[in-house]
Amino acid sequence: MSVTTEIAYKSLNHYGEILCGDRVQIVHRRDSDIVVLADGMGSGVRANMLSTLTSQIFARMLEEGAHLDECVETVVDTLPNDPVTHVSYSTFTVLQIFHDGRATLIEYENPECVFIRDGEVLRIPQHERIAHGKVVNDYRFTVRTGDTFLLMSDGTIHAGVGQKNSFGWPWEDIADFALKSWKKGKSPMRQAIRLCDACNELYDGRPGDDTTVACIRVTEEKVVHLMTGPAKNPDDDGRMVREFMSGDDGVTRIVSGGTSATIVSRVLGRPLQVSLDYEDADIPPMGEIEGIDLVTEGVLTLAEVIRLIREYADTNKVNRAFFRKLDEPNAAARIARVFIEDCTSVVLYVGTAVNAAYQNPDLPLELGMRQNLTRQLTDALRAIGRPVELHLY
Amino acid sequence: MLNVSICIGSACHMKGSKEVIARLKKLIAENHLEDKVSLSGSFCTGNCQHAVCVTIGDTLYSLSPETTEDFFRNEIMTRVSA
Repeated sequence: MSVTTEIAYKSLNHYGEILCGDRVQIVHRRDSDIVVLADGMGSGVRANMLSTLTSQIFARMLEEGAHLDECVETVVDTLPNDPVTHVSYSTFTVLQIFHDGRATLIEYENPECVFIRDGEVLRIPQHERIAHGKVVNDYRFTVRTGDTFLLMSDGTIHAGVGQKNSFGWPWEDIADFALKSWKKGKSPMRQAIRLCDACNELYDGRPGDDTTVACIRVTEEKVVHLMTGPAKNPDDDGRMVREFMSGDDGVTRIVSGGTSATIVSRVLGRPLQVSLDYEDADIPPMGEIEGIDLVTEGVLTLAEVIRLIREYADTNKVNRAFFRKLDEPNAAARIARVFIEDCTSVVLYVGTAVNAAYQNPDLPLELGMRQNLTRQLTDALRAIGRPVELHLY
Repeated sequence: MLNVSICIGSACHMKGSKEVIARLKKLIAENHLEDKVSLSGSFCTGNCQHAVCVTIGDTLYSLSPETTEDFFRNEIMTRVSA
């Protein structure tokens, strides 16, 4: 079995604070993906520093190949206690999912992780062990495709204390809410946002605690092939299309570019239909070729795709309004939606021919810049954790 | 049926395909030619310097939103009324 993960998180800051006291770190290793959620004591700068320290120790050690057990030992040993309350300065949850399906969940004083499998919430078995005098819960198991995990800071279970819920939001109710949200739509970012929005409502828009939700979904590889631009040497058109069409039926195939679409249609011997329906005044309509998932215009559409991906990368700002834009039927939103919600890695097939007509000074600069756009697209995709392979023709 | 194909590729889009399409649709409706003229889209035909590219059969025309009405009178009306 070979599995991979999709990971997203969202935080609410304690009301009036510029910095969040919770911190999420994501580490992609050759053997596994790891998410760390740390919650520093208090709020503001101090909490931010404590959770940053904690999550950074994990991230740095894990990146260097350390075993998770070593990291836990180090962090627990390093974390000082508050001299007055004798509680640790930071709590944490760590989930490591290996690509062979093995997984480890370590929980230290954070609310229990919500684990959804086959449409049900599974309770995390309690296997407590003592590390340097502190009790951590250590759960080792095997994941399945579709498993979803919600890691939370205690801002969730405290949501609405003394306001709408006198004792906060009970864990069981949160798990119920998370399950309903999971049934509505499974993208990790949408789930994290729904849960955070619900907490924010309970807090009346003024969170009394930093609140963070990290959502991890276990998936199979979802590879996306995107072809754009004609090859520099027209003799390479056939080879470019064949390589673009390589791989099994599970690959999502996107052709972005009018000339590219014409070439694909010709090489495959399948007709190209072009719609005249403008879903959006700024983005040209789509085309259709049998066996290709999306056929679109090139540079203008891709420029908008890049804008959408960059907006998504800014986790502080991404919200429901962003997803309304992402759900629109125009070509750019549809490509961005594939990259953001239905993709674990990307292969770009880029032609380097220069369209002489685009050198016309009457046309905007944007058009002549396919190379530049390709670089921006590659950077934007990598910034949201999608590995990109680039083939130039 | 007379088919008129309008390019909506990058360059043509920038030069106003959307407006050309809208004007042609309106002119066709005003002249009750829905049964005689059909519009379709095409992607880049490699003639971007002539944007907006419109083709009838194998003949390429270079349009702008402003010249759309003249094109309609000179090229479409003459063909369908003949």
